[in-house]
Amino acid sequence: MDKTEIISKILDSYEEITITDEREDIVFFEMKGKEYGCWYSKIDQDTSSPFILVKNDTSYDYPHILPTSIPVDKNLANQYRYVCLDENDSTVIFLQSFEEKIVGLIEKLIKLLSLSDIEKEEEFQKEFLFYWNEVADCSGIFNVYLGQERKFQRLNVYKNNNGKIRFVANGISLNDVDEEINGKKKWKHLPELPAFYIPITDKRRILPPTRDKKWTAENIQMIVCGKKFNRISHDSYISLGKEKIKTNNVAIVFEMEVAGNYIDFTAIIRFKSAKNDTLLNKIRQEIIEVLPVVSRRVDYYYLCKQIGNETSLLDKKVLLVGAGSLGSYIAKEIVKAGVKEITIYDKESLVDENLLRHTVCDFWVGHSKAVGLKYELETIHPEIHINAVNKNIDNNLLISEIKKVDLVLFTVGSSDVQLEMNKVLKNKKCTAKVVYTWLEAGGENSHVLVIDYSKKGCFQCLFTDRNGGLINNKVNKNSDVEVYKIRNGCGGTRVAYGNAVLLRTTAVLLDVIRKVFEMPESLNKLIDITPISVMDMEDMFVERKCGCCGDENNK
Amino acid sequence: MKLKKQFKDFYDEICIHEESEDLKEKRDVLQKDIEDNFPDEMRAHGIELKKSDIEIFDQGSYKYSTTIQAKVIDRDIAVMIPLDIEKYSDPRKIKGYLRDAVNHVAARTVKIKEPCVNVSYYENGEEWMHIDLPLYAKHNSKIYLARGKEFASQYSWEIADPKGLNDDLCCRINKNEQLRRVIRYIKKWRNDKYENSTLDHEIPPSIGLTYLACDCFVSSITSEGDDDLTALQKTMTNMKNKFQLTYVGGELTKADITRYLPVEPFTDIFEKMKDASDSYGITFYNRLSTAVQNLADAVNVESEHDAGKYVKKVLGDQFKIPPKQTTSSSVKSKREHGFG
Repeated sequence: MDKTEIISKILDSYEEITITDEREDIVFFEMKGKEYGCWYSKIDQDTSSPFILVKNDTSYDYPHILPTSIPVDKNLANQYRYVCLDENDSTVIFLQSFEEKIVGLIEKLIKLLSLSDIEKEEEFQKEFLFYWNEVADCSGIFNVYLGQERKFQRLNVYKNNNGKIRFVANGISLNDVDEEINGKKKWKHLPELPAFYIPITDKRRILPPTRDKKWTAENIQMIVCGKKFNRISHDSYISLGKEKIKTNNVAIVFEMEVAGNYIDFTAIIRFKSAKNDTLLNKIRQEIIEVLPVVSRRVDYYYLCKQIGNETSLLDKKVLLVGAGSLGSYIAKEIVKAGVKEITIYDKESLVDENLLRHTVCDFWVGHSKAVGLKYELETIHPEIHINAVNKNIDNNLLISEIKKVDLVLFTVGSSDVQLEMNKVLKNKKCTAKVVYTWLEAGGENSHVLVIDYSKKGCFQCLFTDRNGGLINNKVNKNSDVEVYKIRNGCGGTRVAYGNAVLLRTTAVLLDVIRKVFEMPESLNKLIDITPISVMDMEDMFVERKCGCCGDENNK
Repeated sequence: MKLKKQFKDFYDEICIHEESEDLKEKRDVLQKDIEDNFPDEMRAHGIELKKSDIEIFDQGSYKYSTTIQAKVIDRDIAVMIPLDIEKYSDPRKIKGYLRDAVNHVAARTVKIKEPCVNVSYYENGEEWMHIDLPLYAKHNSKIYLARGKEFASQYSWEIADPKGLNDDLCCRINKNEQLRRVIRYIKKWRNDKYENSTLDHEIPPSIGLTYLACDCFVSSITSEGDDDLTALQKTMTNMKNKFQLTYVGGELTKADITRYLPVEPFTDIFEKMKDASDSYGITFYNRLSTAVQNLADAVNVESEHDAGKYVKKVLGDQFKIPPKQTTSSSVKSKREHGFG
């Protein structure tokens, strides 16, 4: 039996379906007053699937029937539109027979055509941005930076020379906003386009615009001052009545929750005049046009949510001591994990030999590692703020910095530096959490030590024996190993350990930092990392006889 | 537990949690009009009424948060004044003065109805909201409701206790969110089943349903949370069992339900329904029985999809049916995603 026959036979078994036409690669049928086609590819592939088209349907008021036409007829005598019945990757097509694919499609089509009004609304809202962007004006690029707070507000509006426009919520600081090009500011305020953020608290009856149902004043009025129930909070409504506008344009970024996610869509609203009045009155009385525009939400909070980052890191400030290989890997990843503000101390400059295990590019060879890292990190996102200090940290600087941060991260190779800093932090009763991380000589193993100085245990415990005497770092596994060192001619050395250990250590550290803020009361801990294992040693390193944190009478 | 998400979605769909801003503004303006103009109207007819003596307060579902979406917003605002009802014994006249006090705005249509003054708002020729103003007189430490249409032969000052009624219902419903939800489900059921009813007293009154639901409520909570399906099924079953049935020759000829107001005037809330026609009670009983049977089927059936279909018969199209569970043994669907 050929494929057309198979499709026809299956379709014929449904009472509600009448076959109207058969072609080489498509079978047409009628159901619920409309004509559909089941189209399959002549090139047989186990991973391809037939699909459904609707023929000559001129309305756009049904979800999942895509607006654009597919040229099925060579002479374009009929219009065909794709009926989207599957989410990408939701089924393993390879496992299905051709018959099962057809039955599956028809069942889904029947289900789609049986949706109640409320289910149609739900489907439309799920695909809201698709429909919005389909009818939207694409001539401008609007990037939206909102925060975590869902509260009505006037947004700051900036425009650059390329015509890009940014809507920025209060409290969000962008690192390039004061940048200058040829003595002129890269981003300029745009007072002629006031912009507002309005969170929608009740999305009932809010449907996206379609080709035959554009948004008008009524849609905006329904959201802002709906008759039967409120779609925005009372506070938002009151604020709308206080905001004065004296332009004939305004941009509104609406936000609503759909299936557990927040979606944002922007409309430029044109008023009859530029007369000075409240935004509420202008929305009620003066709207002449609603122009959907394509906007992209791009703030750090949103981007973190999109990939499942822990958003509690967003407001944390970090001090990173050491911008060498490990420091650069860690800095880049903690930024991507949600940390937006880092102060970096390192006085070294980048050399060519650093390039393959440092995250900055060769542009920075000969320049400060800290400064190079600052620029590379800040280009990840404009909400990243890096304070690069081209010097090594000393006691006084450390004392001053710990007052401003939530986390101190040591990524320096020198035990002496870490022991010295450990003493300072203990003496000053540092309240920020402190993480020491170091690679062993040879670069095979590494360690992470988390210290809360209000508890017992510190970096020096690792260098203390049972009697209180000082020894070399006792948790290092192979400190006596012969290490292949490359001397750089001025007393410095470089160990050729590759870069895998950096990735291993960074991965462990990301989890550690997340837990530090998720469970602030957790115990100090030591983690040993080898090429084949990660061992959480809990608080085994605590030594009561440590000269720094041990009991006074044991010193 | 079945249909937890579907009940939550349905509740979110039918609920009105608070007054819309538009309604609030219209109510504020109306209240101000009453306070500003009612004393003048009364004075013009020789009755002294100070602005400060007018008491305006909420009544009805907005007061105890059991409002649901309906085609027309229905708001009850009580207007209470001190009045010697022995001297001014015709409440129709006083209601007329109240009507005249607010009947000067084109956007409003004001009518005198039997228990209240009705202020309707229209848009494009269609009523979208009305505010009912029951008028109360305080006299000798008692409160009386002005009853009677403008030209009706029957009229009276009927003893009442609107604040007592508010307090009683708030006390029963507040802090019992499952009961509040069940009341809203039952009101929605009533609205759907009586969608085409237009006759006076044919439709079971909201206050009656609310009291029956309170009396008959059975809470259902499982380890997975509130089980609204079971609570609704048990509550409606108990409501059904409250009917007194009369059969003649095996045929149901009468189905009476009685619920007395717990405050003045202590009358039967369903009295008017009963007085109007025996068939109204029978229809109410039969519709309730059908709902109870469908809910019982929903509770007993194994498949959540089938249970949803039964509940939809009771609560209407806005109740979403969960998808059928695939029982095929071959693995054809997968949970994975791109790696972008």
